[in-house]
Amino acid sequence: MVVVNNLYIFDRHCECIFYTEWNRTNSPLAAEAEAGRGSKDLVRGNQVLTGDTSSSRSSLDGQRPLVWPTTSTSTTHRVSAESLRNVVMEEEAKLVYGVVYSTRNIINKLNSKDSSQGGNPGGFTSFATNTYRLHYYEAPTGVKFILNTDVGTTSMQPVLEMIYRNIYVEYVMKNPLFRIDPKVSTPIENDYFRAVLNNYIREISSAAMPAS
Amino acid sequence: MIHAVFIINRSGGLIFNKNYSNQLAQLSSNEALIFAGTFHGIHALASRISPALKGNATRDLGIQTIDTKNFRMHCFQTPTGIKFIAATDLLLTDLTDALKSVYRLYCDYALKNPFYNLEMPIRSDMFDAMLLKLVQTS
Repeated sequence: MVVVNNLYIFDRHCECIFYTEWNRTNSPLAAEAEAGRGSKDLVRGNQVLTGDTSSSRSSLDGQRPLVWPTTSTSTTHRVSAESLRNVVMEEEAKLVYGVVYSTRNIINKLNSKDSSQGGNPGGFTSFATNTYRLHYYEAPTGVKFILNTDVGTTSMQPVLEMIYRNIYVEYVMKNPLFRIDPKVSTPIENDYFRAVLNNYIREISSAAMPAS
Repeated sequence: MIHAVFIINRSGGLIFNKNYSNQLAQLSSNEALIFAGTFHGIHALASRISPALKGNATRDLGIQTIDTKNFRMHCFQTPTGIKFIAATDLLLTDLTDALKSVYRLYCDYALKNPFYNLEMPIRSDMFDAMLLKLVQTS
């Protein structure tokens, strides 16, 4: 049983263009959702929060998982009063990127490969602590996919490659309306992309995976 | 087959590094120091970004393995904050016992040496010899 916790996608400019979570016990996105329920309008931009009241968010039973960032929080439209949740989420994304970037660079150094090329020349695939395992996949263009799962899952490289090749490339890159500005990063706000990704992750989580 | 061993002290400074095969690039002393400092940092940050912390019940103890296409890195952290790192081939999945033996060698040949300054680089022929024997037998 593979337990998938969350997914980050970073582009070449080191910005987080997509984040979603399925199983997370300490989410900064969920914290303020709990606080704001009852009186405030919970629909922000493209993001629809579910009425789940449990503190551990599991989105594999049909509810839509939380996603970040949305256009109201993207760096191009910075609102003067940023909500605490976005700041915390942004900081976390930067921390994650920093850890992965540094690890990738020391691995490249140990393999005496040049870090400036895209596509992960040193071959860093994952690291594990006692509570989670982080899997990393870098496309040749520099787009980075980071997937956190439970510790028992040994390799999600084929999964990440599938996500890149058949979901990201198909639904995001081949969409002519998704403009890639060389100076500014645009977050991914594509319902098809999200739906296909959720279905794929749901399939992965429920299929019996042999430990490789 | 162990390719290299690194020992990092509590503040993130490198106190020992040795390559035992040609698999890994030979790092200059500056590069090795940078490696140690960076590893010390990411080891700590990895616990911070864990998505599976259940309040105060579970504690994340930092990076334990790093997998790459060609080798695997194992890290064992002692309760006093010293990190023992070994880079091995992909066949070895759990090196905790070997790293604990390295810790025992460190205690015997460095800590019990009255002339050894704590947190300083380890310069002991006996330590090197015993570690080489350990690496060759695992």
